[in-house]
Amino acid sequence: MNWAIFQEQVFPIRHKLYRFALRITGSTHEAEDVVQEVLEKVWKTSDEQSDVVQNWEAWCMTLTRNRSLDKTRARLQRRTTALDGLNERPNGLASPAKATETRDLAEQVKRMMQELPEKQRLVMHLRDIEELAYEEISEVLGISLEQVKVNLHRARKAIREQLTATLNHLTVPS
Amino acid sequence: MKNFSEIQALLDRYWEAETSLEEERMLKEYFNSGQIDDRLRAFLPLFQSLKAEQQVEFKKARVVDMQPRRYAWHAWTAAASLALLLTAGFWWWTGHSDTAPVILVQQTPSSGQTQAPATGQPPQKVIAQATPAPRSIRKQHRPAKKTNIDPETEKAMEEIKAALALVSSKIGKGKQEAAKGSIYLENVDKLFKKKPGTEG
Repeated sequence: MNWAIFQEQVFPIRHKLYRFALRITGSTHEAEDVVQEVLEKVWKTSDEQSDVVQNWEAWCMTLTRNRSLDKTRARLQRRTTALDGLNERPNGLASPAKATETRDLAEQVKRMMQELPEKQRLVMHLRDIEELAYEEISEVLGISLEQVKVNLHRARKAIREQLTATLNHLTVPS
Repeated sequence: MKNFSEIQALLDRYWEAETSLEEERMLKEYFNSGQIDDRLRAFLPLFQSLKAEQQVEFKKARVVDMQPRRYAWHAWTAAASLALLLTAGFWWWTGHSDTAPVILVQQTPSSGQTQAPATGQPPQKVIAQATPAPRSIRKQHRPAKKTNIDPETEKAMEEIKAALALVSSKIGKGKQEAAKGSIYLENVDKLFKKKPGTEG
């Protein structure tokens, strides 16, 4: 790996990779490990392979997705529940009653996003947080453009409905 | 800043996934401006949350942790100790017996200087108690001695040699990997120190 490429194109996107890994794993520790491993893997890429890569960001995001999914699946297989911070994905949906208790709507939105089906969650993350073009999302996730749009539409619709329901619940006098 | 109807129209297209990245940035900007129409306030948490998530950063302190290198040093120390022990053991096995004092004894039954032992055995005369032979002489004797080594010992020696060769090869390979890892860690360490707020 060429040091200049690593410094200019790979290292600056570490925050993006971390957020993406965090979105998939739901664990800060696992996301940190994933980014560490991806950076190391990219650094050890042979010159021949480096010449083939055209979009380092998309390539790194794909590596991050694969590594994060591996970790998540391994954890699920071990049937352990990680509990390391607010970013952890809770088991099952939070009840509306419990959600209203916190009164922290932004946090609730975060949780709503985390509870979306995997494809919807990742598409919405890449579009609304990382601001990737549809083509880039398609490349990173290995799905068609049509699927990207469909999943994004469903994800936003689900968030909108949940937000509306939560707000209605809050405004209805008890 | 856009008015309510414009934002509402943008929002409608946003839910349908029909907005461009630029339009979506405008929506985020509007909802995080602090001047929102009350009729749109319901969706404020979404755009607040998106903005907050965009600011999450990778701050892995463990990247600059020297643990991997400490691990490498442990491995190196262990490998070196093992090699040293095996080498010492091999040397001791093959050369230690040469250093044992050699006692030359000559039977002198008619000599007046004899000292009859209490055991009643034939008298012996101690001619000399030799110190270990010089190293050059010992080296000359080794090939002859080797022929006396029993097959089991020889087999054990071959195994030790094979083990040493294996350790040597692993050290060579490990050295290359350690050098690669070390360069990576040093460079990333420098980047973290130089660019703490690099955009990602």
